[in-house]
Order: sequence, then C-alpha cells, then structure tokens
Amino acid sequence: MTALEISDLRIRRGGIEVVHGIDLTVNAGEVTALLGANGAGKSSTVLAVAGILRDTSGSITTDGTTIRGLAPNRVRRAGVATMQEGHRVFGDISVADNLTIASLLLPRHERAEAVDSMLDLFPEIHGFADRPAGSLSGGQQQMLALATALAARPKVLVIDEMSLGLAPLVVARLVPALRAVAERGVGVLLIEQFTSVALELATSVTVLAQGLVTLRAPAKELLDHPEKLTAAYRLTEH
Amino acid sequence: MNRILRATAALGVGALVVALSACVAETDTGTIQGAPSADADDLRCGLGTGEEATGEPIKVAAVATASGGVDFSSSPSSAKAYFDCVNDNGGINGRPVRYEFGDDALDPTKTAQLAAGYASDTSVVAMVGDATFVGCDVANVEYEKAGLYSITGVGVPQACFESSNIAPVNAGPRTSALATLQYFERQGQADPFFAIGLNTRGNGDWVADGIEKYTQQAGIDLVGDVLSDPAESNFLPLVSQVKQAAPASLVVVDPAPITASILATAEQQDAKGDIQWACTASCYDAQFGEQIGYYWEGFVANSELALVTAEGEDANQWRAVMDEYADADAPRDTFSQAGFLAAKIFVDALLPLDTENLDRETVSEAVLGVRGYESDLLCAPWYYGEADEHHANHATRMAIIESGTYVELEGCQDVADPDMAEILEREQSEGLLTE
Amino acid sequence: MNLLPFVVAGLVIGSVYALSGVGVLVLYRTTGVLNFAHGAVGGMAALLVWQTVELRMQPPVAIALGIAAGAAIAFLFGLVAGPSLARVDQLRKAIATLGLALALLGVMLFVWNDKARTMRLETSRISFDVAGARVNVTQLVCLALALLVVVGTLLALRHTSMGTSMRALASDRELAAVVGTNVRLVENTAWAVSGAVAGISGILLADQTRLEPAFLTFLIIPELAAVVIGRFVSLWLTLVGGLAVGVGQSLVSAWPTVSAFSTAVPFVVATIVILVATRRRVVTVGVVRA
Repeated sequence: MTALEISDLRIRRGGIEVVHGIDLTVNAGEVTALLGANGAGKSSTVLAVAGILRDTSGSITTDGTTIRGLAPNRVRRAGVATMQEGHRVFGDISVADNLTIASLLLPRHERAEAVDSMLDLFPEIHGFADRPAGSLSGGQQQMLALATALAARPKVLVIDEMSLGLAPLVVARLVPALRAVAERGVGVLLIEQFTSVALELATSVTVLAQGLVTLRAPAKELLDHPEKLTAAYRLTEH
Repeated sequence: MNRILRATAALGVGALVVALSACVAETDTGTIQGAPSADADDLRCGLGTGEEATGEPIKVAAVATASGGVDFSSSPSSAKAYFDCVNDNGGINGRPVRYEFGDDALDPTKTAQLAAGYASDTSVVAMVGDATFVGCDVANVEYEKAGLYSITGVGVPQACFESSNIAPVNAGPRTSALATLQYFERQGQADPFFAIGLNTRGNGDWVADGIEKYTQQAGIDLVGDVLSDPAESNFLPLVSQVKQAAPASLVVVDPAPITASILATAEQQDAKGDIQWACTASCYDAQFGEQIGYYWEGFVANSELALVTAEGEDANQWRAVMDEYADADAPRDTFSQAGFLAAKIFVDALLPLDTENLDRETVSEAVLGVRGYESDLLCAPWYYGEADEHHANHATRMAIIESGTYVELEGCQDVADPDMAEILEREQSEGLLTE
Repeated sequence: MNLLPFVVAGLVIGSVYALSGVGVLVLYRTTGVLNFAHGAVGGMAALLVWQTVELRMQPPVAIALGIAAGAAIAFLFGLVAGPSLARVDQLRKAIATLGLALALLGVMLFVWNDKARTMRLETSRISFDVAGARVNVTQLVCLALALLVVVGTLLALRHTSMGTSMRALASDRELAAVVGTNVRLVENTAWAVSGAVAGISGILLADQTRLEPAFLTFLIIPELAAVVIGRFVSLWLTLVGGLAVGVGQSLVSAWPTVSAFSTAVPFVVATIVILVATRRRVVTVGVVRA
C-alpha cells in the first residue's frame, strides 16, 4: 500500500529550481531510502514534503490527500511526520513537554499515554523527562526527535539525516527502533549519509543527483552491486 | 505587506471610527445649558442686511494647532462661523470673506511653513482667529517681513504676547494665573500661596516668573512654585509638597487634562484640606466640573472672557452664530468666544474702508488702527496699535464650580502684572482705550 | 518626609507596568512581535470605557466592553498583519506595530478632543489609611492582578494545551509547525490575550494616572523597560522590573532636586540591566577561555 506518493515534484529555492521533477513512492510498512551526494536535492525534497518549502509544483499525496502546498502543521495533521536534520528539539523545554507538544494532535485523553509510551520506547531519555531537551547528548536528542515525530502516530515518517554526527553506538540503537516503526505499518522515507545504514534498513532505494532521479532499485540489489550506487551518484556529472 | 497593513489599519480604524462617531455626536452638546436663548436679531452679523454678499471675495487666513495632542481649532472654527454669518448679511459692503485655516500639528516648522505660505500670498489681507500653541515667534518673523497682521484668537506662550504683528484677544496664562492670585488676595486667602505649572520654555517659566515677581511685590509668602514635566504621570510628590507647604490657596496653570489628574491624586490622598484650589482659564470649560467630581465643589477658575453662559449683545450673538453656522459638536468655550471676537473686530475694522481699495496695505493700516474696541465679552477695551508687544486683555472674571458647573464668582477685575507697566503707560499716552 | 505614600504609589503603578509587560512578553515570545502599540491599545480601551460610561452604561459592563475591545483590536491586527509579519525580521515587525500605535493614537485624538477626562473606577472611591499612606481598593486590585496574571500565565503556559503550544512557538517556530502546532491559531490567541491584558492595564493606568491618548500610548516605554529587565524571558523578573521602575520613578520624584528626571528612570534602569547582563556574559566567556 502506498503511504506517500510524489510525482513530477519540482522545487525552487530562491527562485532557482533545485529539484527537476522527481517521482517517489513510499510504501506503508517499508523503509525507502533516498540517497545522493550533498546538494543533490534530498533535503529540499524533505522540506517540500514537510511544507516548509512551498515554491513547488507537481504533486505530493498521502492516502489520496494532496499535501503539496499545505502549511507544515497541516501536513503533519494529514499524517506525515518529519524529523528535521540535526536532532532538532525544543532545547529550552523539558523532554516530557517536547513529547507533550507533539501529542497535542491526539485527542485529549490519549496524550499522557502517548508521552509515556514514547518515553518507554527510549529508556535512555526516560530518566531525563524533566530536564531541558537542550541538556541531552546529541544521540539522546536524536532519540527524542524520533520519539517526538512518532508521538502522534504518523502514517508516514520522513527522516532527514538520521545518523549524521552521531556515535556508531547510538546509530546501532536507532536502527532497530526505526525498523520497529516500519514494522508497525508506518511508511518511512529515510535520507541517509551512510549508505550502509540505509541499505540495512531500506527495502527500496532511490538515488538523486543534481535534482533528478538517477537510480531506483531494491536495496538488496545494491548491497550486492555497490558499484551501481557509486555510478548513480555521479551519473549527471560530466 | 504594505497593502495588508493598510488594509488592517483601514479595517480596524474604520470600524472604530464608525462605531465611535455615533457616540461622540450624542455627548458633545451643541447648546449651552443655563444660557439665555437666542433671538433672531442675534444673527444680524456685520451690516445685517440679510442678503448674501456676492462681490469679489476677501481672503483671510489663520494658523492654529488642531492636532498633535492639543486642539485649539475652536478659535478659527468660530471665526469662520462669524464670517459665514457676515457673508449672509451683506459681507464687507458686498464683498464676502473667504476664510481658511492651516493646522500646524504642534510643530513649529509647520507653523513657519504655513505662515510663510500665507505671507507670500498677497491676496491674504490679514490673519484672524489664529491659535497656534507653538509658533507665534516663527510666524511673527514671516508676518513682519510681509507686512501682514494677525488678530489672534488664542495666544498661550510668551511669544504670542510679545510680537509686533500678533495681537491676541485672550489674556494668556500669565495674566490668568495672576488674576487668580489677586482674586485670593482680595479675599484675604492668598498668603501663603502655592503655584503649580508646566515645565515648558516660554510658557510655564513665564507664568512662574510673573507669580514670583508679583508675590514679592505684594509681600505674599510664595511657599511653592513647582513646574512639572508635561509627561509626568505621578502627581503624588506634588500633592505631598502642597500638603506640607499648607498654603491658604493655590493655582494650577496646566492644561485641563493634567489639572484633572493632579486633582484626582489630591482627592485620592484627601489633600484638599482648607486650601482654596483654583486653576487658570485653561480648565474653564463646561466638561471640567463634571469630570473632576463632587469632591471639588467650590473649585475656582479664571475666565479670560465672559462666561459662556453670560448675557450680553456679543455673548448672545456668539452663541447664536455657533448654533447656526458651526458644527453641533464644535466646542462652546473661551477659545471659541476668542475666535468669534477676533473675527468681529476684524469685520468692524474693515466696514468703514473703501471696498474697492481693500488690499493687505489698507487692511493692515485699519487693523493697526483698532483702538478702544468694546465688547461685553471683554472687560476692558481692546486695541492693536504699533508696538513690539500686544497684550490688550488684562482684565478678567472668576468662576466657581457649583453642582458640577461653573457659575460667576466675581465680575471684571483688572489684573496687575509688574512687567506690564510699559503697556499700561502706552495705553494712556497713545489713547488706545478710546476710539 | 514620609516616603511610604511614594513607595505605595510606585508599587501600584509598577504593578500595572508589570501586568502590561506580561502581555508584551507573552506576545513577543509567541509571535516574535515586540508590540509598541500595547500602550495605544490600552489607551483605546480606557477611552472606550470612559465614553460608554458617559453614555450611561453600567461601569462593569463598560469595563468588560473596553477589555474586549482591546482584545479585538490586537486580534484583528494579528489576524490581518500576522502572516506578513511572520516573514519579516524583528525590527520590521516592531516598526509595523509602531505604525499601529500611531494609527490608534491618531484615531483617539480625532475622536476625543483634548478636554479633561478622568476615569474614576468605583473601587477608587473606597480608601483607607495605612501608616500615613492613603490606599484605595483599585490600588490593591492593581497589585493583586499583577501577581495573579504572572502566576496565572505561568500556570497556563505549563498546564494548558494552548500554553504548551505557545512555549513551543517561543522555543522553535518551525519545529513547532512541523510537529503539528497550529501556528496561526496560537498566534491569534496570543494577540487576543495580550490585547485583553493591554485593555486591563490601560483602564487601570487611566484611573491611576491620566486619561489622555498620547500619555497612555507612550506608557509603553516603562512597560518595555519591565520586559527588558525580565530579559525578554522571565515573567517573574518582568514583575520585579515593573515594580522597580514604578518605585524608582516614584522615589526619584519625591526629591525636588532630582524629580525632573523621574521620567528617565525606565531608561536608566533598563540600561543598567542591559549593561550588567552583558558584562556578566563577557566574564563567563573569559572564564571559559581561561
């Protein structure tokens, strides 16, 4: 089942087109990896899906609902959660309240439970529930960011650079957590610097280079033939 | 963004204005309670022919402060009302007066611009009913260069009374304060005395100087002479000083809103005591008594012209003209009387002239020649005359608040000002008090 | 000289500065807009109360109407100008509110002439002596209300959904939107709430000081000083700041030799706070470097 459907998406930043009509499908219960070199248009795609970049054309839909051009909070209400780059959390607000803010989308009686279940999901941050999120380590903040994105039970989760700048130990902790998320039926779109992490988690892989899709393949195939990936990264370079 | 901001402003402001204008029209009563009712004869302005003047218009102008926090436009408004009445009654021997006034918005630069504009327009024969709060000095420079003369309705700062080409109809704050002090002196209540004023150059200091000089001369113990900042919000120190000084009487020489706040603080501290509280003509207006409340029964104020309820030929005509020719919500106050009187003096000065030969030169000569002008609005004859200072109105009346409204307390009394010796001498030597 | 009356008067005015400052602070933190029109909105509310009472409306109804009008003016401005303000820098946001302040001032001066007006709340007529200082019920209301609003705001920010969302916006607007916070709704609420607070403060200040458009409009200066002392963050320090400015002004005015400078107190206090705060930060950096 398709959780997120992107077709012919074009994105302009500062009036200049940086993504030139890409198609992308994220299936429910699967991790789809979006790879590519720096400046390929991955982050722009995330920001466009999240509703932060609005100078776009084409279509982005979830569950048959168009979300392209909606404000970020309406995108989130449509079921698409985004985890922005750089373990972004409300630094001066307590860990528990970070989760509370995200849980406000839920009916009143479900909020407290959602916050508790997220704290249970990451025991590492459970003990710091009353501390300001800014005082956590980078890895803990990334866990909190993931928990925040998941708190209001999204149907689609878009992650921009999950493991960037994190210790391998932390990454090893996040990978199974993310896999569990997908197994619960959430469609995950993962932007990832480390191809090894991406290929380990993903079912299918899409590669962007200079704003165009240069490769679409099952993750398994790329694990066996890494040279295809390297080629796709460079495809449009002359 | 601009468009949206403008739309907001338009929307919010528009809605409020619409909502409020309805309220305001209702509250500002057009007619004065307690005043004798008008007579048909009251509207026979000027020649009183009842025929509209159709000749070549005579251009007359004024500069007044109408916005910027102070509104003195009631002076030019009543001047305009009188001119309209004159125009409906044969005008100046058949020629109507075309009158306009510019608002200097409390900005002396703007006053200078407006004055220069009227001065350079030689079809403007005179200035009448002016009421600028800030620019008499700068305006006079322009008038003097152009040989233009102003019969000013309302002058407040010192410069308005010490100019060659400006002569106010009103008495000004210094005279008004001295009048109040001398009233208490006559009642045996002026010693010790306390004065409160505004710390403004050429205005508050000028008034304070007058009070200091006079009390010294009269041997009155001046136990307080406090000038407060116009932006002051806390009048408690002032009230404490008054309490401590325990004067027999005091005068507040502030604009009415500030006076009202001082009185509110004094009431809050229950500081009225045995002190006789009073203010200058600035708070002689119909609304004041009702605003300050019953605590201040017996509060005294000076009035620079006749009381607005007074009976008299000009007083009646002023009310009738305002009812007929001015907006219903235009204030009926001393400033309005002053503008009216300025216009009347002007018309009476022009009527004897050769109508074909009216220009700035002939009009200026006639205006300068006004002397011994009598009106029941005034206490003593008004005059212009060639001099570097003009302060003809130095005799005033006193009023007291009874049941929330002002009634006459004392009739006309001459006001003594140690600095006015030269003016008084000139009045005699040049025979300015007789026609 | 008995200084107690001055301390009391200063505390009362200061508490209203603080009350007003809380409105400015909540709006600033939520929307990023430093509202220079806060005083003007209060002035408008106060004049509306005066006008409706003159028209023989029951004072409690008139006051409720005035507060509602304050909320409505601010809400309307936030509603129409908010989306464009969200896209410009803080300086421009502040300047836009300066425009609103001048527009409101213009309307007030246009509608109400410069004659004397006084606002006498019923509660001001009941007064009693406390150790030689005269205190009336309105003054007690001012003090209690300031405390109540600070505590209430803190509780609301902590325990209500709207308060939590406001904190989210104050912390990171973009992230708040991404996690689903309805930014426009929260901002509009902040405008309305701060408008109502402006209305309440305007009415109290009109009773305690002067009912004049320009005067009430420019009371934004001591109010902002309170917010500066709260370093644009702390509600408690804003309360302390408001009281400090109020008492400072009042005490300075008690001595004739320096009383002319009482209007400068907000600037002096704010400047000292900024300087001390800056110096402390420099020292910290120095320690870290060492």
